[in-house]
Amino acid sequence: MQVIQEKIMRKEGLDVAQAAKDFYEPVFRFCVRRVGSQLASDAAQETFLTAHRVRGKFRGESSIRTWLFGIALNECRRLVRQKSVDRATVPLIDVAGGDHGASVIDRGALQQALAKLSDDHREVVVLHEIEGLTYEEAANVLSVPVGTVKSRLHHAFLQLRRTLDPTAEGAER
Amino acid sequence: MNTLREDLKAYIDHELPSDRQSEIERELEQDADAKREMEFMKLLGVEIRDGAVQPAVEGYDKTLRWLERATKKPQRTGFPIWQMLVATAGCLVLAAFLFPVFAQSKEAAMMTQVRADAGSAAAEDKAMAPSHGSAGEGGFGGGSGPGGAPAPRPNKPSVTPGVDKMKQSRGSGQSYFDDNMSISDGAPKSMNPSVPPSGGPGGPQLQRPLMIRTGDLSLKVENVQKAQTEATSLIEGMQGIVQSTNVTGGDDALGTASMTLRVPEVRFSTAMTALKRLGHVITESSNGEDVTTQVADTEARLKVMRVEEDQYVTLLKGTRRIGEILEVKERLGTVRQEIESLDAQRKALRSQSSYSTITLSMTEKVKADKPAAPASWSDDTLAAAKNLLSSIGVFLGQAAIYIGVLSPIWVPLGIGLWWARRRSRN
Repeated sequence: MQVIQEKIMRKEGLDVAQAAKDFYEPVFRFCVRRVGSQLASDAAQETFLTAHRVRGKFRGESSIRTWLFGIALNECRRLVRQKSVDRATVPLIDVAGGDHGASVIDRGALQQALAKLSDDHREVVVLHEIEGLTYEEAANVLSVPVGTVKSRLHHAFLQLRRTLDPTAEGAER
Repeated sequence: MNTLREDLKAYIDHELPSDRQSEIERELEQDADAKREMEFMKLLGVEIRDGAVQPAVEGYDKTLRWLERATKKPQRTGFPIWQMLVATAGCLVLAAFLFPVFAQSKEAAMMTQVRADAGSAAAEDKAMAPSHGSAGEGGFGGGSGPGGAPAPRPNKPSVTPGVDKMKQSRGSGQSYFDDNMSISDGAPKSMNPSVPPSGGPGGPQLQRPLMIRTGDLSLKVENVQKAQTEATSLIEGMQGIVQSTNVTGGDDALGTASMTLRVPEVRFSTAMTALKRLGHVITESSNGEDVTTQVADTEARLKVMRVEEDQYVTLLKGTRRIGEILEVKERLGTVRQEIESLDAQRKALRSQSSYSTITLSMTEKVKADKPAAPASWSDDTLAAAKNLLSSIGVFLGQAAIYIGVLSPIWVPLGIGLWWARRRSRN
């Protein structure tokens, strides 16, 4: 269904209003995880307005979602620069709410471990683990090779493991 | 080749080629630590996904409204209205600041031009001084040559009796330049650019026609006294004469001035141009009358009469009889009267032709701060409103002119701003 819709959009020109109806929620949540809830709606709105302005540049080589995430990433970076947002303070894990009983790993510790990651590592974790993008899609969004995404994920998880379980054998290396 | 642990995360995510996937599977069977690590990574991934913040969506409706609005209106392809308005406002502010500067510099330029005209006229006089002197001494063709040797005076008419010879000298057109010249004769002729320097080698000597030129100029000026002073200094700077001046007006009335100015004929046009810069021209007229033939005719008749006078004098000397003596004396008196008359006529023509006359009338502009006649409050209000409307009209007109004239500055600036903003958004 989505593929058909994307084909129609490519043929008739991208309908950004329709794209907003389909993808506003993932884009907004991505922005929340990048710049925090205060600026997320601004970033998401700017993302779709920018998409509307540059819709002619969309060539259909990637999915609309990936393309929108790429724009959102740039908007978030711009906002971070303008507003001097400390990305380490942006929560990725819901520490306060939800049922933590089934969790093996302490969510507070996990949040702290994620906050210690570098921006590049955190970006790739968010895109792949939370947003569910494939390595190739994440590479498109970040404009880096797939191998870089793979490497960053490996090192991000290695660092998370080191932080969460310093005694672990594999973490020693 | 990557190690097992480097590919472990990609293995979990099924992002490896199938053969590498199988290879790692086999390795994991043998490596219990790696298997534990894999389990931990899987668990970590699950924890991150499950525990991820799931915020409530905000700004969805607003974004849709914006997009609908943006979709409805056509894509802006060219004219950035807001940027243009900002640039226009900037230009107006700039124009408001620069207007007094422009106005001041215009006035300064006018005064500089007036002074320059007077200065150049003085400089011309200095430069022409040697030829002026020689022309005064020896007439138009009688100057010294480059080596200081006196140049030959061509076709000097002989004062011998006989009408035919007089006609000959009259026909050559040279005689009236060789006679005693008035003070005005030398400078104008020597300054004529169409005439080669006297005593120069070869070339026909062109003679400037004798013109009686009159000009009438009516100006509206800011300050009559000031304009009158400037006109006087201007004319004096051109070796002219202020023949008469009549200034009227005081504090309560608008001033007027009437001046009769005499300037060397060759500077007539320069003087008119310079005088026009003193104010706003209301009327302007100039007239020229060629009196070359008239002067030549007068001089020829004068010479004939002088020859006749000589003949009568000779005749008188040889006469012995009283009756004849009285008759000859009577004739001689008549001839001499006619000579005087012709000579006066000749001098008047020369004077008029060498010095042109400019009649300058100046009226003061109506000042805004002149006390108005007492009026009722409604008339005052109406007049004020009309003035305001007029001022707004003038302001808008000036603004339009400034915007138009300054468009080479603000149009590229506006386009640049628009482009930069568009680029930064993208």
